Order: sequence, then C-alpha cells, then structure tokens
Amino acid sequence: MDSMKIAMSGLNAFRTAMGTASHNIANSQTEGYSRQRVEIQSNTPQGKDGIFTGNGAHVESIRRITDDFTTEQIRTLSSEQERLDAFHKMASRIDSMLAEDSTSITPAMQSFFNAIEQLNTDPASSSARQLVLTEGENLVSRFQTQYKQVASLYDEVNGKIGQEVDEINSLAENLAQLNVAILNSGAQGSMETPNDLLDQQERLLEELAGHVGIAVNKEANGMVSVYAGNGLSLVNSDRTNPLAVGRDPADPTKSVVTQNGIDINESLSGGTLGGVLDFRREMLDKTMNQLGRQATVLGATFNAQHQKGINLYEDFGGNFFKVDTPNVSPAYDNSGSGKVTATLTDPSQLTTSDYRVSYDGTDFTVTRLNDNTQVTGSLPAEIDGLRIEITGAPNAGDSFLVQPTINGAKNIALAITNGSQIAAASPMRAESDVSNIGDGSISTPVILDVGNPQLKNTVTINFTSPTDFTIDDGTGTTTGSYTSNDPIEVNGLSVRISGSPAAGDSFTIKANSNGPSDNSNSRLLSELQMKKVVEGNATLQEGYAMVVNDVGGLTRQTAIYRDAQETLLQNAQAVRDSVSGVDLDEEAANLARYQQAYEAAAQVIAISKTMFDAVLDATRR
Amino acid sequence: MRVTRSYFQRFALQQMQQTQKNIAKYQAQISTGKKLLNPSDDPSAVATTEKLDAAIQRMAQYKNNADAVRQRLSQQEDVFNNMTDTMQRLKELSIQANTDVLSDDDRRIIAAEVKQIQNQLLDYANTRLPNGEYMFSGSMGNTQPFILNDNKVSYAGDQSESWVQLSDSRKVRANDTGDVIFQRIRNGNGKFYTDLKSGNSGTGVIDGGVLTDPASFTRKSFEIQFTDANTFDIVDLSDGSETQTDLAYQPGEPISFNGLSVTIKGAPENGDAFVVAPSKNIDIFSIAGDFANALKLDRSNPANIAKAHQTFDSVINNIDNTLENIQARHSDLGARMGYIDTTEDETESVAFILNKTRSEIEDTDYAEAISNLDFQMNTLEAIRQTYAKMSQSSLFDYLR
Repeated sequence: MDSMKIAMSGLNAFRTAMGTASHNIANSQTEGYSRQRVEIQSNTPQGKDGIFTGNGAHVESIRRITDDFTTEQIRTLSSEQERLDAFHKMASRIDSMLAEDSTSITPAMQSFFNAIEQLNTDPASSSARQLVLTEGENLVSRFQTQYKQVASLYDEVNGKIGQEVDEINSLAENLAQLNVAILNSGAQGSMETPNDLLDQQERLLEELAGHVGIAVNKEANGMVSVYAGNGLSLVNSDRTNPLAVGRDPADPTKSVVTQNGIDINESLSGGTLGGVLDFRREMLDKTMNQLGRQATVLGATFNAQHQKGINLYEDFGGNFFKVDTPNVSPAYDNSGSGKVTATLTDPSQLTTSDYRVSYDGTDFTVTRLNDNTQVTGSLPAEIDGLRIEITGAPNAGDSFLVQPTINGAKNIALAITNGSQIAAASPMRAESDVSNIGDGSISTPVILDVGNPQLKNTVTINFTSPTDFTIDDGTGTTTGSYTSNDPIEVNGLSVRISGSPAAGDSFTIKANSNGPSDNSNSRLLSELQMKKVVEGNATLQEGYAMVVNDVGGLTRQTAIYRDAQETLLQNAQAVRDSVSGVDLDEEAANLARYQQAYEAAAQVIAISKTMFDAVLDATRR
Repeated sequence: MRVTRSYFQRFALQQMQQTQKNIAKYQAQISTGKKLLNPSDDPSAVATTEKLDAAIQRMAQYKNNADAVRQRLSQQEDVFNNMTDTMQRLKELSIQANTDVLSDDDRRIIAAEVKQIQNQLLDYANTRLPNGEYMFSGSMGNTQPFILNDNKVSYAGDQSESWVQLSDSRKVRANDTGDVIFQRIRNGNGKFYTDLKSGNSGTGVIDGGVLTDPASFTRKSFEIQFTDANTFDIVDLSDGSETQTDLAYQPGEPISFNGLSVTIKGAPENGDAFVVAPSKNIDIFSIAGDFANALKLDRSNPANIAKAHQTFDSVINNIDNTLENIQARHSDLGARMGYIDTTEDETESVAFILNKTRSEIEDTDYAEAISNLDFQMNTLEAIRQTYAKMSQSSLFDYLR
C-alpha cells in the first residue's frame, strides 16, 4: 500500500508542476508576469528500528522567480527615463520653432536692418520708409509669435501637471487597494505568497515610478509603503495621501503640485511629472526671458538712437518701438505698503535673470536669481542696467520679484504708425562757409544729449588763426585751440574739424530743416546691427543665435541622456526577462519531464496493483 | 544568461525600432535636402547657420546698396562729362572773343551762346535724380539748389554728405554737394589773383603773375597805384602802408613784392590802379557772367578794350581752374566707383564663401545619406528575417 500512496503523492506533485508549467505558458505574454517554479520536496520519512523508509513527495511551494534588485533598478531607471522623455518632448517644440525660417527671429531682424539700409540709399522715399515699417511690423510679430508658442507651453505644462496628478492619485489608490487584497489573501510567511497579486503590485509600482520618482518600502506581509520626492508619503497600507494642483503664489498663471495644501513642487523629482516641472524651471522660464531680453534690447537700443534723429516733420524721432517695462510683483504675504519699481537704464547690461528684492527692516537685498549673487544696501540701487526704487513703507520680511524680461517678447510693438515718423535725419547739420580758403572740413554733428535745451542753437566756429578759433554757441563766445580731428563738444553735440583751416575761415552748425535726403541718423540706426549690445559682448543676431544654441544644446543633451537612460532601462529589462520571463522551450522541456515522471508514477500504481492482485491470487488458492 | 522568448522579442523589437528611427532620419535628410532639421541636431552648427543666414542676407543688401550708389554716381559722371564739354566750349569762345578782329555781330553771336551756356550750367547744377530729388543739394533733396538772379547764383542746398554701407566695414560717399562742384573754385593761380581796379582810364593790363618766393608770400591784398603814367607805388591794403614807392614803370618788366611777381603792359594813366589780392572762391556761373558782361563793353573807349582783354584773360584762367576742379571731382568719383566695384567683388566672394560654409554645415551629403539609408534598410531586413525564423522554431514542434 505504501508504494501506491507514495506514487499518489508523486502524481499530485507532478500534476501541480504541470499546472504551473501551463500557468507559465498561459501567461507567457502577460505584461509584468514573473514565471513560477514548483519546489517539490520529499516527504518526511518513516523510521522504525533505525530504518527510514521514504514517504513520497509533496509540493513545498510555488515560487515566483524575481530579482528585487533588478525590479528596483527598473523603477529608478524608468522614473529618470520618463522624466527625460517628458522634458525632451516639450523642449523639442521650442527647439523646432527657433531656427525654422518661417518663425525664426534671424531673417526678420536682418530684413528689418536691410530695409533701413535701403532707406539709407534713398531717405526721402516714402516706399523705402514704408518698407522699414512693414519689416519692423514683421519683426515684432515674430517676437509675439514666438512668445505665444512658448506661452502655450506654459498652459500645456499646467494641463500636464493636472493629468499627472490624477494618474498618480489613481495609481496610489490602486496600490492601497492591492495592499488590502494582499493582506486578505491569507498567505502567511515567506513560503506562501500570492504570486499574481505581487506581480500586479510590481507592475503598478513601475507605472507609478514612470509618473513620479518614488521610494518603496516593502513590509513582511507583502504590503508596500510608497514615498514621493523626499519622503512625502503617497501610500501607507490601505490609505493614500493624494496630491492636488494649486497656484504658484508668485505667479498665479503657473500650476504647482500640493499635498495637504502645501506646495511640494520643489521636493518632487523624476517621472513625467518631474520632467514637466524641470522643463518649466530649466528651459521654459529661461527661454521666455531670453526672448524677452532680445526684444527689449533691440527696442531700447534702437529707440535710444531713434530719439536722437528727426523725422520728416522735423520733430525729434522719439520711440520707434514700444518696449516692455520690468514686471514687479510683491510677495503674496507682504505686510507693508512698500511698492518697488524697476526701470531699464542701460539695455546693454540687461541679463536674462529675474531678481528678488527683500527687506530685513534696515537694508534691502537684491538677489540675482540665476546665480544668487546678492547686493545689500539701500534703494534706489543700480544693478545690471536696472534702476530699482521703492516708495511706501515695507515691513521687515517683505519681498518683491522683479522680472525685467519676462514679457519683453510679448509686449514689443511699433510705436510709430507712418513712414514719415522715421527719424532718418540728424537734427543738426554742419557747414563750412563757401568763402573759406583753407581746406578744413567739418564732420556731421553727433548728437550726445538730445535733451540739451540749447541743442538746436546755431553755433559758429571762427578761425582767428590756423591754430585758434572762437565758438559762438548762441549764448556766448568761448575760444579754443585747434587740433585736427579732435572732437569739439558744444550744446550736447560733438563735431570734428579736420584739415588745415585758414584764418578767417568759419564753420556753422545749425538746425537741419528741409533736409529729407539726410541719412545721418538712419545710418547710425543701421550700424546698431554690428554693435555688441547684448550684455556688451554680442550683437543682436549673435544674441539670438545664443538662444538657439542654448535651447538646442539643452534639447540635444536631454535626448542623449534619454537615449542613454533607455539603453540602461532596456538592459535592466533584459535582465528581468532573463530571470523572470517565461521561456516556452524550457516549459516544453519541463512539461515533457513532468509528464514522464507522472507516467512513471502511474506505472508504479499499476505495478502496485499487479503486486496486490498477485497477493490476492495467491491467497485465493 | 537565460535567453527567454520575451527577452528575445523585446530585443528584436528594440533593434527594429532603432533601425526604423534611423531610416526616418536619413529619409528626412534626403527629402528636405538638409541634414540639420532642428537646433538640437547640432546646436552650435545651427547657431552658426543662423548667423551665416543673417550675413548672407546682409551681403545681398550690400549689393543693392552698391547698385543704387553706382547708378547715382554714373548719372553724376554724365553730368561731369557734359560740364567738361560745356566749359571747353566756353573756353574756345573766350579765346575767340579775346581777339580784336571780331565784329560787333560776332560778339553778339558769342554773347548769345555764352548766355545759353550759363543756362546749361544751371541745368546741370539743378540735375534731378530718377526719384525726383536734386542731385547737388546735399540733404535738401526737394530744394532746388541753384537759382540764377541777375547773373548771381546762390546755393540753397546744404553740405550734408550721404554715406552708404558697402560691406560690414566699408562705406562710400554717395553724393557731392553743389557748393563743392559749382562754388568753391579758387580764382587766379590759387594763391593770388590780379585785376584792374574798376574805373581805370588808361589801357594798362596786368598778367596773372607768378609766385617767386612762396616762403615770403602773405595773404594780403595790394594795389599797384600809378601816381603818373610812369611812376607807381605798391600799397598794402591791410593797413594802407606803402610797401614800395615811386617806382619807374617799364612796360613788360616784372614787378616783384610779397614773394610774387607781376607784369603790367600798355599805358596806364595817373590814378589807375591794379589789384593783386589773395585768391578767393568764385562760382562757375559768375565766370560766364563776367564773360557776358565783357562782351557788352563799349569798344570805342580804349580803356574798355583793355578791360575786356583783362576780363577774357581771367575768364580763361578761371575756366581752366573750373576744369581742374571738375577733373579732381571726376577722378574722386571714378575712385569711388572703383571702390564700389572692388568692394562688391569682395562682398560677392565673401557671400560665396558664406553660402558654401552654410551648405557644408546644413545641406545633406546625398552620397552619404543614401548609403546610410541603404545600410539601415539592409539591417532592418536582416533583423526581420532572423526574427521570423526564430519565432517559428519551438520545442513543441518536436514533442509529438
């Protein structure tokens, strides 16, 4: 009877083994499935008089073949991979916009300056003037288009944050429910495990890691605790701690992630959510400021020269572009009545950074936010081409955010509406008297200070000898000694006389009237394109090329990291497939093996029966 | 390592996807003709092409500028050529008029032509550009620069120069103002001029004189005053002092003072005087005006004949000065046109190099792209075939 009983135990064990093989085969295409292996052990032998007889076999456990290290590695890697992928997808949108001929600033800016060059060859022409306006309009609309495209990404980031928060919350909910299911499965100890539930748990964790970087703590009972960022609890046994979407107090147009009403943006990292937040922080804000800076520097620099010229109505040119002014927002929790204003004083020093002005009760500290350089002292203060002033009474602890360039590309526009308003001419002209017999010549006046009230006075320079002259500036006469080509400054302008004037020669500087063909000022306008006006070291075109380079560089770098991360992730997945994946050939071999063993055990039963029959036959006689 | 089916599937799939990605990339390069589609393909290269694009666009504008200035200057060159011809004709007429064999009718015919020439010169001075603006009025393009009023012409333009950029570093002056062309003509020999004092009653004439000692020459006006038919004083008009007195008159003998030497011929009378003064600027129209006036003198009076000769001599001299001035302006213009041509050639070769550089950076190398595409297609084919073969084989097929 023993052998039959033993054979039965074998039959049972092998049937379970074949069942497991079938289960493996059935799940060979199931995502996240870990193959299971039957552990068959011999039964406890029976001992009598010091002799132990075997007692058959039983299924000790059905083990799930996994490698915890690899699983965790996959989670970390896919967090990073999804982060980079989300970053890269959004970055590519800016990337493809910047250098595309139909949206790039470069050709529009060049066409604008070419139109001014064209105006130089024929300053009185109304069609040349109209062309400058048209190209100027085109240039500012390029800036506005780029602004809109970049701004639309802010909306997209907001939408994505909401979407990700929903996904994360629902995954956390599923994990909490799974925790309960695992606890209720009745499995106890490490030998008895609800394998398929654990596979599900693994899959949910991996999915969650793709949305946000997480840390996982596995408990002995199979339940998991999940933490996001630096230790923010997401799942704890059957409870979840859901995320929500709030508004950035400093900039209400930006969504932030909150938990229990607290802004946790800064502590989140990794996953699609982390990628989107990183993108906004590292690329979007910077690009917006860079574009704004380009627009503001162009506008302010151009205006400064345009103001020095006169238009066809013989009025000073004033502004050609409407230029954005720095944006200042008080912190939401300011308690004082202080109001900070910032004005642009020198566009060539303007950076792409934002600034924080904070007050400690005695001193103001201005912090340049991109490198945290601080200047402490009193207001008004001059920093990076900005003049920062305060009115009212701030309280200690109050702070203000100064954003000089954020709306630059949005708000640039043309300030003039018809071509006659273009100030192509110099307000002053210089002449040498027609009876001069020396060969001295006088240069076109350069306007230094358009606000000088005596600028338009008629100035007469008389040479009393080849080396001495008198200047009548309209209010009085002074004397000077002559050096060829030295600048002579008077009434807010500067001229140079060169050559050898003779005694009795005279030169006159007087207001320009009836001079529509004068291109003195438009020539200076077109020369601006060759000047290093962006942070004193780049031309306007080079400045834009820097934006292209920065965005392209960061996009490319992200793509390279993402590809590298993908390779690492694929390797880790390959390791997992190698450990946990189902191999059909292996299962086929196992099936054949178990089948043979099963047939053998069945044969044992048949033999036992024959033996038993033989005993019965013998006793029947 | 345990190679499972899922590992194998994943691996093959990744390979296929990667290969397909490469195929898409090379296909885009071939179909767009560009190997850089976005800045991220090669950030610094794209930033460079942005700058190159701007520079190429700028070079095209410089070419437009050069064309515009060249057109303007060549129109001005025509004016200079016509002015030279006209002044040559005026010179012929003045030489003709300087002889005493002409009849009054001959002089009237000459006078008519001189008047016509004066009008012609005025037309040249008021030449308009194709855009309707005046060529010689400086920045006051809408203001007629020269208006003739009683043989006197005033300049209504200004002296503003118009400069136009020809390359990033070179510019050219696109205009000449009317005062330089028509007004600033130095009379006499450039240092001093000679003339009869108006009201002379004798037949004495003075030649143009020569500078004998430039070092002792001063810019002062002098008069040679005859105290009788044979004696003269030299008076410094700046202070009325007599430089030399009671000199004996020898017709045709050089008279030297102030580093210069002049010769007087004919028969001056008591009270006649001759002016020797520093050269001054005269205008082109007054030369023709002086000529016309001299033709009108009543030749029955011998003093007038002397005056006419004196005027024709200085007219001839001033026409030569004018021709020299036009010549100088003309060669300056020629130099500027040459400058435009060489700068334009340079700009064109710079633009060619810029274009070539841009093309090297961003254009598809078709041979390379097509061979890469071919290679990737072959790879994809190979992966597909091995995948299909591997997928078909299973141990189950043999366990029958």
